[in-house]
This record gives sequence, structure tokens and C-alpha cells, in this order.
Amino acid sequence: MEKFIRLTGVAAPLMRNNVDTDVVIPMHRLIGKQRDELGRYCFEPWRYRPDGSENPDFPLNQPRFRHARILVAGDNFGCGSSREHAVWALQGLGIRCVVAPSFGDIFFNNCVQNGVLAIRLPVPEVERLADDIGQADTPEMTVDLEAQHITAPSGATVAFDIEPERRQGLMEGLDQIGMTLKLDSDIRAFQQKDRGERPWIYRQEETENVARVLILAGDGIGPEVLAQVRRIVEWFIAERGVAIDLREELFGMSAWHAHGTLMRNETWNEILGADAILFGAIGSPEYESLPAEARKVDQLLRMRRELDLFDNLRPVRTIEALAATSSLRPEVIKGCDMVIVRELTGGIYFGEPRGVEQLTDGTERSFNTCVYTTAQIERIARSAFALARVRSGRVCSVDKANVLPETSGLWRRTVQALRDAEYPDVELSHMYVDNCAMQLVRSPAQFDVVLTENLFGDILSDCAAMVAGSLGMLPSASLGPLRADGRRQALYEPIHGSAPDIAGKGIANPVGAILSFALCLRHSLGLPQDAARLEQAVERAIAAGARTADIAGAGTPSGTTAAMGDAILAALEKGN
Amino acid sequence: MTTPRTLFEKIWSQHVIAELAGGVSLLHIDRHLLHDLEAGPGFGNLAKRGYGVHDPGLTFAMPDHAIATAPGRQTDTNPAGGKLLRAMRRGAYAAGVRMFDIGDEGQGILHVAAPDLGLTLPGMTLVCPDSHTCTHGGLGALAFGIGASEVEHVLATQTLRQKKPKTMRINLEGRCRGALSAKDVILATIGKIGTAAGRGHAVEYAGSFVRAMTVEERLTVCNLSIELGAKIGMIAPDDTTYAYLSGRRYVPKAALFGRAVAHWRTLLTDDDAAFDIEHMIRVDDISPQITWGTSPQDVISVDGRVPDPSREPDAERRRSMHAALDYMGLAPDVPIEGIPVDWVFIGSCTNGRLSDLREAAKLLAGRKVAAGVRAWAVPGSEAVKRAAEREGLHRVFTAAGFEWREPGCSMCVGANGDVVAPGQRSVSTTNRNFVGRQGPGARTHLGSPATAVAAAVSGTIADSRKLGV
Repeated sequence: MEKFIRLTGVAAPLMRNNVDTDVVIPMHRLIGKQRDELGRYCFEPWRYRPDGSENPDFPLNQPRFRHARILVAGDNFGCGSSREHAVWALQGLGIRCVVAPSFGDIFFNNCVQNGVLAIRLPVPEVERLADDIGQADTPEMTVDLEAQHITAPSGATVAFDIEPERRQGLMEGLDQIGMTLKLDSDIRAFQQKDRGERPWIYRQEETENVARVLILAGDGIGPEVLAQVRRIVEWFIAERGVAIDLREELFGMSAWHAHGTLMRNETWNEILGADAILFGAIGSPEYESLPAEARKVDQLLRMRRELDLFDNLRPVRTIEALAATSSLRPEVIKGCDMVIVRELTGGIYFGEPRGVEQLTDGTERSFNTCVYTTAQIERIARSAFALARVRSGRVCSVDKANVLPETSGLWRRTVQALRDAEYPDVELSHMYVDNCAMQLVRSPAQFDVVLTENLFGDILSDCAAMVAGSLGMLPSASLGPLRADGRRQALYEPIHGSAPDIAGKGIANPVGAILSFALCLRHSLGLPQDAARLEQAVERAIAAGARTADIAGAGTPSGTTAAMGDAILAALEKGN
Repeated sequence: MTTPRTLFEKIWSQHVIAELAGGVSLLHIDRHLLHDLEAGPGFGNLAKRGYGVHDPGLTFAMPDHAIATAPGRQTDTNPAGGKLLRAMRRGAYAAGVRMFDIGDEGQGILHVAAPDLGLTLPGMTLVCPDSHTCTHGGLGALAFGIGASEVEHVLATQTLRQKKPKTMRINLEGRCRGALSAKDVILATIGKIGTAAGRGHAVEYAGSFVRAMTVEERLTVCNLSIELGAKIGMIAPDDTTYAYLSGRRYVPKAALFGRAVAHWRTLLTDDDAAFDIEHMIRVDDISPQITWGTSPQDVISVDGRVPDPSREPDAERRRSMHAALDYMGLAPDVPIEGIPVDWVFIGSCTNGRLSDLREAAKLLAGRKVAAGVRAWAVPGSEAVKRAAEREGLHRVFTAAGFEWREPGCSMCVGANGDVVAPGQRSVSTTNRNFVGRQGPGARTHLGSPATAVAAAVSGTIADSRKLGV
């Protein structure tokens, strides 16, 4: 902010009472204009006639006052609307000081914020100054903030009062936010005490319903990383008052060892009753030893199908501190921030008919069928468009419409029609899947929301994962349809899988699983602020040097799974 | 014994984190509301300056100023507003701030929707970059408008540096008759004490009329505090307030609500507390009000005559009256009733609540908008709109020839392009009749919803009492 110590310049009289900020700068000039463009519209209703020509009667249009730096005005100057644009418009006109008997309260504060000196003087003194200016050959005045007096054109001086703090702020051009943040420990102490006395200010629950969250750690490194997730969930319950009923069930080989079955009825009922499932991983060499009957059903696919988890979100972001761990060059992945929205319950993975036939010559013929309906495409596209609205407003829809004019053709037509009808504000482009695969490794930063069908999404999301450096960093969410009670059942899982080679060593990266819980806070619990809180804590922990082996880089020391959990919890504590 | 204190002083002192030099206090801000004109630029500037958002959970955002109100509106129906809305969405999402977007039941004019949602509670400090934030004082909150730099300060620190204002009490005494509304009472009050009277003061409204008012009426009265020059206007919470709050979406529930009410009961102005200024207004003899000039204090009874500047002794006042009459295209000393109007607008943070729409619809039922008049009804929020539609009020408006539109600030401020054409005359339930407020050259007469309906069906400024129900 520009310092204000002493100002000598032309002073103009505007001796009208109750000059409101709508006259200083009309509302329609606020929209779409930058701060520094407002000066030409300052006092527009008075300065210009309806035909756009200058009104010669308006004081600031008269040659002697045209370059005024100081305004001498009537009572209650700047009343009405709170728009700070009024101060910016005056500044754009060249005004840095306004002298008046009194000011609108909000306008007065806005002056302080912008280095404009508002001086209050008794009515007779303001009137004398206005007369002095009116009679002078050269209406030049000096305002000396240091000495706290005004020298009128005639040489007469008038002293003025000003609060010491406002005077100091203007003279030093101080950044008020910076000054206030020096008191941040006082602010936080106040909040801590106040939270006990008036908890309703800080904890706004939209409903009394407690969300049921179920942990299914599963196989491989699942139990290790989910143990860290559990600590984070418990922190949010205890410290942020997040209403979660946290439960846990055995899943995968641990369930087999404990109960002799991969899925007990009790567990399945827990799954059906959960608002959100925090899932670890599935997959282990041990499955080979199970009876074929027990292995027949993939329990993760069963959950996706039965809960209709059609909406799969995979955010991929470059974390600058980890750029070196990507297989792509740092300049290629710089600034990459995308979400792949993948349709998860349709397409060729689920389509019928499917089968393998014996041919008469002893060879075989096998087939799968890719099926999509308009309704299936619309509901996933809606999810992508809604997400784009809170991001950069762009969706790239990926298909293979040139070779598959049936399913991919329907995909493209449906997505385009939905966008035109309901999301005209979102920018939609279409890309063939082969080109998309290339673009993801060539210039991934071009993407924001990528919308695609099941098979393409499966391949492209693994491809995109390499942008972030380590699979261990990446979360995912799979959401079901909106139910009558307004909730969407959902499953959250890191994308890294069970990693049997490092299972049980305590060195797996828990960040993907922890960021999956952040997605849970956002999408299942409706707590975007707490989601952001967790995501920022993860970034701070990594910026401060927390590393597991997969993201440590060559020759850099790495910590354990638990140490990463410690670092993120510490960052949460610090930010609370 | 402790010094007796006012409602304002009690809430103020509870929020002081530190006393700074020069009589400036560092105040904790409990609730920060953001609209589409200021949210995107605010988040953007803050990020540019390298500051984070201190308490995203205490900030709530919704678009109201620049969004279109045309039925079926989309993000870019008003293209300039679309740009602001996108920036708002991105900023709120990145900061983790809860946003109620268009189409969401929570969206609306902030000063209508926030009380409706229960985001406004007694005893809290609440700020928003809009001067009509004083509205929230109707629930006993200490609420005031701030500028763009102060928005950034609140986002970054959850505090504001403020000088404590003086205190004023306006006692509204008496009972009013049939057609009189809260709007008429507050307009008459402004006419009596002027638009500069409250400058530098926090106003508390008290008296038998205030106690008898519903919460929605209290919000209307507090809404016009800034037109008295006071950036803060408030009404002590009471059982009417608690009944209104109970069960709303963001209001504490069960035992916590009981605890909150017990706290709120301690906030009332003590019997012997002194105010710097007190005013007494008798409401019994107030009749429906209408403005004639370009300031809310330029107000007369709807059965009165346009004042004659030649009878005004003060020269500056005489000059401004002439200028106002010239702008408004009115001759002195003629009856204001019967002057033809082109536009009627019902809506805004002053009179866009369900009770306002009900009052208007009751009077409008079975009548038609006069030929040559365009009339709009713009609900103050999505929730108000849906509730009105459940009651069938929208059919009363459309059958009479009103346009029934989507919620937003609309023609009160014209930020979204909803404007009155130059030289055209409107009767509006809003709060400002400033030069150019409803669009360049627009001539605005402020009145109650009943007065607006009377103008719509008569085609002229008219006395709603003569319509009968």
C-alpha cells in the first residue's frame, strides 16, 4: 500500500450531503472491470449527461478542478452500499484525500484499507475550506498527515485529529493482514476457549445423523495403511467433532483365516448398512490355495455391483516436492491436476452375452459384449460436469467413436446433448482413447476432468497414475446413486493394491489411503472444509520432509508407514 | 455490581481478542458470508498475496448479486455473472468453504437464505461484503457490512480491526393497524430522523411494536438500518426468536440448543444501561409510506403530496430536493397517488421473504396487473420460492400478470442486468432509491409489498388500503 505522509495537490469542492457510493460508482460498472479501470466511471451519473458528454456544471469537470487529488465534501460522504469499488474509483480519478464533516461508516473503513486519508472536520471548517478553494486562483492545498494540518490555498491552516493507529498505518503503508497475523496465537487461544463456551459457533451439523463408516483393510499392505487411516479418522472424530460411527470388519484372507469364509453374512450386512467403506486392498498369493468354490466370487467386484458404485473418481495431482519420483520429466508433469471420472458398473466388464465356445476344428471362439444405455451414460456424465463446475470448468470425454460408432457413438452423443441441455457453462471436448493415452504421458497438465467408460478408464487411470510419481500417493472414490435419504453409498480405496512383496514390513505408503478418507469427508460426509484440512496437512507433512521408501528418491532416508501417519497427524494438530 | 450494559456492548466485548492502539479492537468473526461479486476476487487476491483461509468452516458462500433471475437460468445466462460464479465455485472449493450454488435449496439472497438456514444465530458476530448485512441483527446478531479488503482480512485471520461505535436505541412504541407493515414503520422512522442519524452508531430497536413483530418483520426493520446511516442494527432475541430458530438446518440441536438459548438470554440489554442517543417513534399514526426522492429519507405518506422545495429553509437541502424532483420527473406539491408507473418489483433482502409474498398474494388474488405495467416477483431464496410454490402463491402472481422468477438480488441493485429503463418509474419493495440504483436514469419509489401490489393493479402509485382484501 502506498504510504501517505504529505500531499500537495488540487482540491475540489463537492459540497453535497449524503453522497452515496452508488453515485460514486454505479453497480453496472462494478461487473467485469478491474480496480484500475473504475476511475473513468467515478461519479458517472453526475459527471456525464445521458448522451455521454461531460456535464460542465459538475465541479470535477471544470478545468481548475480536473486533476484534483483532494475532495472537500458535504456531510455523510460515502453512505449506502459497502462497495470498496467506490474508494478504488476515487483513487482512479486521482483522489487520495477526502475532507468532510462525516463519512459513511463502511466507506470510512474502506478508505483506511486503501491508503486514502479521510479527514473529519466540523461543518464550519469544511465550509471555510470549500470557500477558500472556490476563491483561489490556483486551488491547491497541502495535507500534512505527519503534522496533522491542512494548508488552504489562501495559506490559512486547519489542524485535524486522527486516531494514532490509523495515522501510523497510512504513514507506513502497512499490510493489515500481516500485522494481525502477528497476533495469531491470541486468535487461536481465543477460539480454543470459545469453542468450549459456544461450541455451536464452530460445529455446524447439518443433520443429527451419524455416518456409518466401515473399515475393510483386506489383504497385503491393506491392514498396515488402514491402521494409519484409522488414527486419522479418530482424530477427526475427537478433534473436529465429525459425526462418524466407525466400525471394522475382516475382509479377504484374514476373514478366511478367522472364519473359514471370505464373506460372512454379518460382514455383508455391515457393508450394506455402511454410508462409506474405507477399503484397503484385495489380492494375495494365498488365494491359490483356497478351494475353487470359495474363490469363485471376487468380493470387491461384488460390492461394486451390489452397491451400484458406478461413479469412480481418481484425482491425480503433481506434488512438487515429489516431482523427481515420477518416471516422466519434471517439466512434463509440472502443474498437473486432473480427475479421471470412470464409469464403473457398465461396459464390456459386465455386458452380456459373454462366453467361450468350442469350435468343430478343436479351436475356441470367445466373446465379450460392450453395452451402454443412455441412462448409464447420463448419470456418470452428470457427475463429471458437476465436478468440472467446482474446478476449471472443462471436461474431456474419451471414447473410440471412430471405430465403435455404436457404444462410443452413443456415449459421445449423450454426453454432448447433456452438456448442451444442462451444463452449457462447462467446456466439453472429445478425444479418442488412443490419443488420450499418448497425451497423458506427453502433456498431462492439459487435462482437468476426464470422463470415460469402464475399460478405457481402467487403462487410462493407471497411465495417469505415473504422473504423480508413486501409486502409493493416489486415492480413489467409487460412489453409488443418490438414495432417497439424500446420501450416496461409497467405497474409498487407494489405487496401489495389495503389494504382497512389501506386505508386513511396515514400509508401505499410507498417503493414498489417507487421501481416500479426505475424499470420504468431501463426498460422503459433506465436509469439504475438513477434506481440505486433511489434504493440506498431507501436503505440509510431505513439504516438511516426511517420506516412505517409494517416494524417498535415491539416497534419501525414508521412514515407516507409522512415521508418515505421525507426520500427518502432527500437521493436522498444528493446523487445528 | 457490574456496569449495566447494552445487547451490543455485551456481544462486542465477548468477541474482543485484543485491544489495539487508538481505540481499535481486534474482533473475532463468528460467521463470514460471501456473495458472487466479492468471493472470487477475494479468494483470488488472498492466494496472490500468499495467505491461506484461517477457518473455512466459518465461511459460507452463495451467489445472489450477478446471477440471472430468468426462469431456467444457467451459469452463463448473465455472461458477466457467469464469470464471477465460476471464480466463486473454484475459490470456495479450493478453500473448503461451503457453497450453496444455483439450484441448491440453500441458495438465495444471503440476507434471506442465511437466517432461513439457521446460519445466523443470536450473539454472533457476522460480516459480509454487503451493507445490508445489518439485516441479520433481526435475530440478535452483531452483523455489519464490510469492504473487499476486509473480506480478505477476515478470510486470512477470522478477525477484523474495528473501532467500537456509539450506541443508539430506537423505541418503536404502539400497535399498528391493518395495512401497515414493518417496512412502513422503518421508512417512516428514516423519514423522521434522516439517513445520517445512525452514522457511527450501533442501533438497537426496542419497544412494544418490536416485541410484537415476527422474526421476518424484524429482519425487514434491521435491513434498513444502513439507510439510517447505521451499519449495525439489532433486536434482542426472545421467545419469538427461539421458536423461529428451533429445528433449522444449521441451528444447534437438542441439549446444545438449550445451552445456546440459556447463553442468548444473558445478552439482553440491562434495565439501566445507557445509550448515547435514544429516539422514540409512535407507530400508531403511521400510514403506508412511499418515497418521492432519491434518498430513503425522502419519504411521505402514500396519501400525501410531493413536498415543495420552496418551503425548505436550508439552502443545501433545497438544492438537493430540486435535484431529486428533477431526477424523479416530479412536480412539487402534487398528490403522489395517481402518478403512473411502468414497473413493479417485489423481492430483495428487504421484502423477499415468504411472509412478504403471502401478503402481496393475498392482496393480488383475483386482480390483474394494469396494462402497460411490467411486474416481477422475485423470491428471496430457493427455499422461499419452493415454499411459495407449495402454497400456490406463484399461480396468484402469474395469473395476475406478474413474472415469477428465480431467486437473487435482481432489480434491487441491477448487478445482473435486471434494470429499469432510463426515465421509467418503478414501485419497488427494496431499500434504496438512489440515483441510478435500479439502472441508469431509473426512477424508484420505495414501498411495502402491499403498496407495490396496489401500484401494479392500479397502474399508478396507489394506497393499498383502498383496495381492500
